[in-house]
Amino acid sequence: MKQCKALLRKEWDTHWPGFLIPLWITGGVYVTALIGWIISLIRGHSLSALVSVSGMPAGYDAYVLYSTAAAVTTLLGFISMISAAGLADSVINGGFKRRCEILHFSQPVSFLKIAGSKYLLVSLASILLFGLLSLLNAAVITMIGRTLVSAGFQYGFTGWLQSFIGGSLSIFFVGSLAWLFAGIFKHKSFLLGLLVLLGIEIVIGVLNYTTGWHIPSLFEFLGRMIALKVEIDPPVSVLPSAEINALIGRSWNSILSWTSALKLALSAAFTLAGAWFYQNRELS
Amino acid sequence: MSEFIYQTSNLTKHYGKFRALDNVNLSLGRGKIIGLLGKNGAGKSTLMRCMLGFLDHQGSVTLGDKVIKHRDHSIFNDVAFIPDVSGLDDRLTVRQTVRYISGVNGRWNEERAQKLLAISNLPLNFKVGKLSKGMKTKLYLLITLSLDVSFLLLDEPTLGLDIAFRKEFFNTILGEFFDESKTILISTHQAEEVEDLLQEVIFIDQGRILLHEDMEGLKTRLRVATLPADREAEILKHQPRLVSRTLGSISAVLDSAIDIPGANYSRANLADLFLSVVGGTNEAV
Repeated sequence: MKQCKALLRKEWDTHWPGFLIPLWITGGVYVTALIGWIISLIRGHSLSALVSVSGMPAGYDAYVLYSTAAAVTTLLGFISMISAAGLADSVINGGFKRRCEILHFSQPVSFLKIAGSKYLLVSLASILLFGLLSLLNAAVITMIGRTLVSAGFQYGFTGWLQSFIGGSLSIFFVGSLAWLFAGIFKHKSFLLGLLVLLGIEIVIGVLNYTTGWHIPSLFEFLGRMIALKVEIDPPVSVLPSAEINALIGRSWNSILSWTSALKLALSAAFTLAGAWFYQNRELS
Repeated sequence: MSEFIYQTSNLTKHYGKFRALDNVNLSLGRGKIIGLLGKNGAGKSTLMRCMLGFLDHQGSVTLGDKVIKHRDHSIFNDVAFIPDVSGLDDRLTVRQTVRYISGVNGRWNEERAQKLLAISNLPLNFKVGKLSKGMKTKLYLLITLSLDVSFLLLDEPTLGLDIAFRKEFFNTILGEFFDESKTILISTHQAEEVEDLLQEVIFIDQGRILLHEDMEGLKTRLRVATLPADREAEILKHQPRLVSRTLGSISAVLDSAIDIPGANYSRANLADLFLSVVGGTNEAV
């Protein structure tokens, strides 16, 4: 337990600036919005001058609150995903690049604990930070939204929760993929990993062209795995407003789906494979 | 006290087609300071890294009864390693570094660490990257010497340090770490800086162990013979591997059993001994 605590603390001490990128960006957005709001107030405008929902079809206010919270959460999810990918390379290869890898591996601590503490920061801690920040955003948006539309709080929080779960799965997937690349490549791991995938995609394309096969596109598949959106089908614009509640309810199906299960399974496989490569490296 | 605690058997390491270690067999006992001497690229670092399980290899490495496999962390319950004092994590502060090692290493001796910290004058809140090379040396020594281990491996630890810090480095290790229950293996290509410390010496060249001998025995077995330059032939007929010519005289390291009438004899220094065994020029060691 003492070792795990020391390892986690060391990972935090060495990687907190990169880990907190979503926080810096969120803080920047808030500061910018606050400055805009203050300037607006100084000029004598109210909040409604900044945000207007006039002209919206009747009954759609619930959907506005839901989709705004979901969109903001998704945007933050995208930032967190990029941050987790960068973090994966940093936690695995940072020691090598700074020529201090041997110091860390010259301690009587198991590889499982070392890799576990690193992976915890890349995935679970990133998801936790994403959850806290996006919840804060959803709360702010819902509170502001409630001054403009008459929908209940639950729509904003449902939008947040659905996007948070979907976003977390994508962070898990991309973080694990980047972890695998970082385990294989010591330098420019994400770029080299993408080049390998590009190579495979080209081979698939050539095979499909020359043999008439129909091997599915790798990038299309990865795109589906990484996609952050919560699927709503059919589009809201063609639905009567009365069905919006049912529609929001049904979008849970896209979250609790086989695609999500596949994301989790692939993430676990990438994590184990990355750890294997990392463990079997030679230290020099 | 000299039970063998660290052994390598037929240790061989290839980098592609290059054979970096070639059937290395070593037995290192307890309570010794052992020098591992070799030219650059002789295989010193590779040998140490194989002994620590950092590199995959052929043959075996055992510590006590335990066979050390590739990336076997349990070895560090008994062994501490300093590769080079620049190998600290420059993202951490001094305080974070000390806290980290004390947390992950069960052999940490807090009492000794506090004592070393008190005399080190290390700035605890400074990032390691901002420390001078001398301060880094102190920090690396602090975190290593605070461990209750029986084996200390030093791989060119003073590379890049000025002479004052090199001296301080070895004095601190002798004063704070070494006793008859512990063993130190020092790899270096600067023979003169460790000469007075060593009890055993290992010469390595092209991945092969050429000599592993007690220091005193080696210095008794070999000696430097000096003759006037006009008697050069009397020395050369013994085919010495190292010959030094100075104004009016010629010197060579020869077996002590060889007696040349009229020659002056003196104790060989470690660099001369190394070159007489390995071959090469004085500049190589």
